[in-house]
Amino acid sequence: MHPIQHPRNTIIIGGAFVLVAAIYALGAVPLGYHIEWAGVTMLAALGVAMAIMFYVLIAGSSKD
Amino acid sequence: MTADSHALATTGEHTPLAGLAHDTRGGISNVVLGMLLFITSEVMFFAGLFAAYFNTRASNHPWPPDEFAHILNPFSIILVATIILISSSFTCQLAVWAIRRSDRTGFLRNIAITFVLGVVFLLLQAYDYSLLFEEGMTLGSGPFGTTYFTLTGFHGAHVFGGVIMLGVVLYRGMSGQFSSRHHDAVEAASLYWHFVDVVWILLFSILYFL
Repeated sequence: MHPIQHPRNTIIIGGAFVLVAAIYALGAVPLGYHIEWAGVTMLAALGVAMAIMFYVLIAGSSKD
Repeated sequence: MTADSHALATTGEHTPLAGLAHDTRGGISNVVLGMLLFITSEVMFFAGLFAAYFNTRASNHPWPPDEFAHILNPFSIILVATIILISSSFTCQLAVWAIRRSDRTGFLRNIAITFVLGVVFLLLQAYDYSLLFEEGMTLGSGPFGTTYFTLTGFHGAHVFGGVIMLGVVLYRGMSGQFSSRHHDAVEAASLYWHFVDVVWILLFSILYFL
């Protein structure tokens, strides 16, 4: 099995989107904007969705 | 179905690669795959609802409106409903673990308890709605009422769907259709139920505490 196929990598995929969501949220403060929670929510949820999709891809692929 | 694909579908082994995968060469059952894809779409569906809620909340002050501020008490019947739904997730998982080790009695007991807890949650939510209606809070009570009932209503509809799913699983279990090798429907139903549970925890936290 290629190392990238390990299901734990789904955390990395999802975490990347959550990190972008965190930057989007926290970056607004020093720039003088209000945190835009709708966008943060969508980015975080996209992370969850991407993580599931990545899990499906690797769990569903053949090990041959 | 070819002999090879039939073998893929019936080996029934849980590999270290993925707890839900059902073949030692890799692969995932169609039922679980379909449910995972469905849940993925549902994640984005509820994300849209949550985003709409935050957007509406940002443009309406005060939030909640003064006339409804005293109504949404988290330490009321809704907390009991929350505890019941969270408990049902545990019993659902106990049912999955039971059928994985071919403990049909334990499986039926736990899936029946999960089913009953789901029904009780729906009844409590209906009772909570009736209390809110008595206080004058309805779907037409401005942005606050609209978003509250849309979010909780869609979640309730999903719980209703999950209860039907659990009912089918319970019926099939009583008919002896599940074993440690053949229980994909149980795995899929439990995934959905856990998802509905997580959505409610987020809903409850955001609506009542944020």
